[in-house]
Amino acid sequence: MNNTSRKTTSMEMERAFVAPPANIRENMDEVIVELEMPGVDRNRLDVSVDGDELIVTGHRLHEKTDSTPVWRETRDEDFRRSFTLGDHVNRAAISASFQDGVLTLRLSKAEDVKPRHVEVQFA
Amino acid sequence: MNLIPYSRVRHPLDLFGGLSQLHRELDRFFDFGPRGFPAASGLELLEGTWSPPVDVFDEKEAVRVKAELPGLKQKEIEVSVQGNTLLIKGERARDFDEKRENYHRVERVYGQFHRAISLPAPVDAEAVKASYKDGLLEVLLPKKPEAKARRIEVNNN
Repeated sequence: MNNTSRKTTSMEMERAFVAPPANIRENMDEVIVELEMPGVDRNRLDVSVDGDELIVTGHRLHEKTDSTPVWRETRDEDFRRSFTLGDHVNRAAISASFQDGVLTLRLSKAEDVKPRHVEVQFA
Repeated sequence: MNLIPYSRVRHPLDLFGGLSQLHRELDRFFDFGPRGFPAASGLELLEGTWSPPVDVFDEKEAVRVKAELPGLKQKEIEVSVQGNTLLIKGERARDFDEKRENYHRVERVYGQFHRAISLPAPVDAEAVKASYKDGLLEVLLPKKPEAKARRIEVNNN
């Protein structure tokens, strides 16, 4: 699925997407997703919601240098990962922040699914 | 070159992990020749640690090393030079509270990391600079004057 209108070059078409490692955790109020995308181009980091699908894409290109590497283990990477959202996630309240190469998504839970304490009435 | 190779933790969704690893190994073989990549990884000696991927550039004035270390704080990364070897080590601490939060998935790697890199030229250990941005560590190691390439005139007698 292509969710960008940007024209992809033939070079990019040949490269396969890489799914960045993710942690998913949940507390009373929200679901938190962390994705490792070190060195990703900030201008080409995209988070979008399409129906029940939350899609994260990002690109990393090696910086242009005159010097040739004597050893290279990192790669140009096209990151993509999608998650299916449950009914309990409030689509309108998803926030994303990027720090130290980690993208953190915070997905608020809908009010009606948050745990509620019920007071017992003693007659 | 004499490096402790990077061990990529296989991703659960990476169905072709084995294949791409073979691809990498082949790439390395052809890039560096059989001498450059010892069959025994040396990682057996470092049980419980992980190694970040690194790039090494041999530039005119300096050796530049980049390492992928997402989600760390500056004080968690230790960079040192011992003779001809650059050492990058540290620890990524688990920053979550299992009592208050439910974990559905943990794919990020935690714990100690360690990487030793043989430098392609003698460097001035006093002048080494390291910076960290967007999860990438960059170490700039200025070469010693005698290590810089010099042009030698051929005399015509």
